[in-house]
Amino acid sequence: MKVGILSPSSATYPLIAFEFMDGLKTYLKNQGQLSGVEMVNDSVGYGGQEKEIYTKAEKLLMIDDIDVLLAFIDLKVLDILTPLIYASGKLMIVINPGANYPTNWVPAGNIIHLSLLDAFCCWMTAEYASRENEKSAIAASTFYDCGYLHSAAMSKCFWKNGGQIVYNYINNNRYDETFAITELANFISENKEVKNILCQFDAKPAHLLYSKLNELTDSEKLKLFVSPMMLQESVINSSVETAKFNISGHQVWSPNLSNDTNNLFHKVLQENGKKAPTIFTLLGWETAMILDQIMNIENISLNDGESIVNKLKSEKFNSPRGEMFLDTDTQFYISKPYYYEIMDGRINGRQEQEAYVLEQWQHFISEPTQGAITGWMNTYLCY
Amino acid sequence: MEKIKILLLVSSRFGLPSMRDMVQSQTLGVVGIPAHCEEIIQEVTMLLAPYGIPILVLHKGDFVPTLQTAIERHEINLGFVLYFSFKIPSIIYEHKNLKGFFNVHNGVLPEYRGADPVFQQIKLMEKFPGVTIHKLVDQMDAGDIVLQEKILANFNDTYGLLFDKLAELASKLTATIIKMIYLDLIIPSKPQNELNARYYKKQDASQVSINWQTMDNRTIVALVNACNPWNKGAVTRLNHKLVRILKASVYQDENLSTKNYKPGQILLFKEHEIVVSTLNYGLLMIELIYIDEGFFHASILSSLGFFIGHQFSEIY
Repeated sequence: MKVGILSPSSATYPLIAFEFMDGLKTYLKNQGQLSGVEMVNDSVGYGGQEKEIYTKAEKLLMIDDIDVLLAFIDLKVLDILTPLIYASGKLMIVINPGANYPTNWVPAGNIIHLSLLDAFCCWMTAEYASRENEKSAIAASTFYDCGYLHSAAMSKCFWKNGGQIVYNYINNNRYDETFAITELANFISENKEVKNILCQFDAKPAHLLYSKLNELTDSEKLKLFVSPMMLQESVINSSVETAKFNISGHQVWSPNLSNDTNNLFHKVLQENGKKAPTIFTLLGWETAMILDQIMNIENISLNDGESIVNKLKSEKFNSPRGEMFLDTDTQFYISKPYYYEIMDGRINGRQEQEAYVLEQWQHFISEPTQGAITGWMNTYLCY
Repeated sequence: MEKIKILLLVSSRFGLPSMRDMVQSQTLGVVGIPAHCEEIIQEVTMLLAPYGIPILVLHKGDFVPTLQTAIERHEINLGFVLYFSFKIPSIIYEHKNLKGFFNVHNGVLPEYRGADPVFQQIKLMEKFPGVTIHKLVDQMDAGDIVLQEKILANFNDTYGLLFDKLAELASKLTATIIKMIYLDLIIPSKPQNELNARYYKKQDASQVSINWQTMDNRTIVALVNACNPWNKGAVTRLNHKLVRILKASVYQDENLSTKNYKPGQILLFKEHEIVVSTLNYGLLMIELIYIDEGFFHASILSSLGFFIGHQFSEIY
């Protein structure tokens, strides 16, 4: 099998492509499949240059004659690739953190999506927020994070369940010692009855936000409902003991999950001299698991992406995050996210029940985004 | 990068969202409309008045030289057809000045070729209706496919609702093609699979009529929706009266027995609706009808001398 990879870059996460490739190659090596997969790799930078991405995808498909295209890109640049992928007929796996979601969930036949379900996690977290007695909330985000639809997912779910956003806060500060939350602090101070904050912050500003909120005199009353990057181990470990307020949210994976597949994930990476896994290593590992499944399909033409997709729809696999399956309606891989609550210096986590996840997924995909949408073109976390 | 100037050919409202977006992106060069489409000419004229974009009123006899001249005079380099009454010859779509000329079809291809795919997709209860952009060739709707996108059908969508949804989808897809041309990318395409091709002629009276002997309640609802609003409903007969059903739904009532009723017989009059027996012991609730006297709730039939047990029948 010949695989073309459009890999990402990020100034904030400089190892993103290395970690993704570590996950991909290490899994295949461990399965004895590495020699069976030829890889042609090209970088698409932050993923925002449509012409560059198109040209590179075209080269991989037409000149390198790859069988499967792995593209670490966001949905905004997918539109322009669609005619090319349709004409090629080959399988494309779109990989990203999942901070955006499609305006139309009916998929193209030969395109599937693997993500960290970031926007869906935000949706579920907002559903939890809407269960609070206090139905009003602040929506807080960074200038960067609010350019992705995970912000819309959180607000939409909160509204749908009877909640009301009473203040929109967008932080445009640098992520350094000058970081301040003056306007947010003023609003909290002047509106004592508002306790809930729906937050979408990347890991670095999340740490700064937690730190600044701790400085407020009445921060004990606050309940933060947060996006997945705000639950990253590096952020939480440094905040859990000091946070005076409650933090809760969903994410699909944590390095600390105690399941056999996650243990194996850590062990194999360690045995191969790789560093501890990250969300990007996870995405590489899972991509390799999908490739492994494809290689095990009998009597299939690699030129027929749609038939491969139809076969994958009936296959489940055990990822380090738990069981995953390809949703037949949307062609997005789904897993059961984990709910975390940080309160009084302790972290409590549990995996959501399948029935709840599937119910919320149906609600999530049945709320089409209409009208004009603005936002960042580059892949989430690639900046 | 070269400035894009589009020739847009339209005969119906289907092209209006795309036209709106082309105006916004300043890529619209000329709009061509057949002379017999008076309502559309009026609407487009009003919409484009502030922008000074020329509108060509085209006649079947001489539209080809008119378009040739327009392509050259207005430096047109891209063409789109969104529902157009005249067959376009290759001398137009292969014009040397054009980087592409595409038909935007409001149906999934190759499964729904023909003049009115919106009607057929609703009537046949297509789960995923869609829009297809393809290259123009001599044979209708048979050119290589460039782009196709489907949406999830809503069983309750009328012809008008689906038509508008597909028109918005068409505008999204045409924007992708325009962007590709702007970025100087070669537009890839793929031949249609002729094995899956189905061609549907423009529907005649027999296709908009309810056949109570062969259609179950779901099929009737689909036909009713497919005929709303353009045909004022699906056609049936009650004794000698022609009735068009505009709105109907599948009805369920465990206490209502259809055993002694034939398909088409009225079982129940409600405040506004009537309930009718259908094939396979099904029930149909008819909500709105059109008759010569006007548009009414279906229960009006009781005041016109119709009672429980009266039977709807085919018009032929």
